[in-house]
Amino acid sequence: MSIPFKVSGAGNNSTARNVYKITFSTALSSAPIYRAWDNSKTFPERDTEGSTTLKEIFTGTEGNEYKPMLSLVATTSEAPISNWKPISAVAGSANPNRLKGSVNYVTDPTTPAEGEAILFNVCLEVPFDATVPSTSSMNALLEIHYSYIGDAPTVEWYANEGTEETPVWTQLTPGVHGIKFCNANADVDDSFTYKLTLPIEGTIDDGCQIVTS
Amino acid sequence: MFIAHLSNGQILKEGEGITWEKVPDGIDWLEVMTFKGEVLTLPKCEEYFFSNEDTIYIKIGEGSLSSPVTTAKIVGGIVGEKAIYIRIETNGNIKMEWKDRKDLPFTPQTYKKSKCQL
Repeated sequence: MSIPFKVSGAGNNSTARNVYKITFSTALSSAPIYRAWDNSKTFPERDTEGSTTLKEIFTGTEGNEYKPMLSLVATTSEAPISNWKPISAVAGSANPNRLKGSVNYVTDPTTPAEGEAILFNVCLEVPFDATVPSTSSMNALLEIHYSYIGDAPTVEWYANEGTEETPVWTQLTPGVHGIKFCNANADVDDSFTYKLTLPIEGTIDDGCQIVTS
Repeated sequence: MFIAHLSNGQILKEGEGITWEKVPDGIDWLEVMTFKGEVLTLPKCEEYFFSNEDTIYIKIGEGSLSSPVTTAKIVGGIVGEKAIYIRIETNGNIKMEWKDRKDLPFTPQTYKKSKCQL
């Protein structure tokens, strides 16, 4: 298997559990938390407090009633319902939730022991009136916070390029591999097709997610 | 970095093979050093807790996966049903708050008894 590839089961309207996986080599001391930011500075530096979710992906547009566009469901414990994307963001932690900094986030339902993993899926809702070109306005950081009391765990991030029933987990390499939201008909062998076309009206969920290098 | 003063006079400092996991019950008092080098001494409590927090992130759109980065040390103590919860961030922020014990997120192994609880 090789990168790039389309992530199996990614996005809304999917009951897949095996989409993204993060493994921890040592036990954690609390459940991991998923947050997203529009941080434009080098992590972990941040802009001034409260100004780190200003991009359109978090503020939304009139077309989606000004809701955060990025959603996440933790699937470690169970599969989600098909249409798992929340109608609105829930204050604080909820599973699933729309993501916006520390205002709206997801806490995994488990605390991984040594060698265990967490599973999750993400989706991006893009309304018809999103800014075009939207590359910058749709860029975001998806963070996973985790805590431990022993030795720091080795953490590995995987995406599934197999099937839900028979996952094939491909590890993403830090500094090399990322994720793009694209139209369903994007050709993994042609990066010029890595784009997300706006709908004429209403909103769309991401057609596919591609692990890129 | 935590500095645990035990009831038997032993002092355990984080690093050099010592992690919070290896600290036994029987803490007399607990100190923690911030990333700027200041030392905070916690008030006497019935139990203490400590965790390192790391973060890994992936850039969606343009960019790539990060390597894990240490973002905070979380330390605190419990008296009755209340807890003092201190979050010491690598960017220099220190946040202190009172929480209900039931709202603390940690596994049982994270909590160490003070000497008065032995």
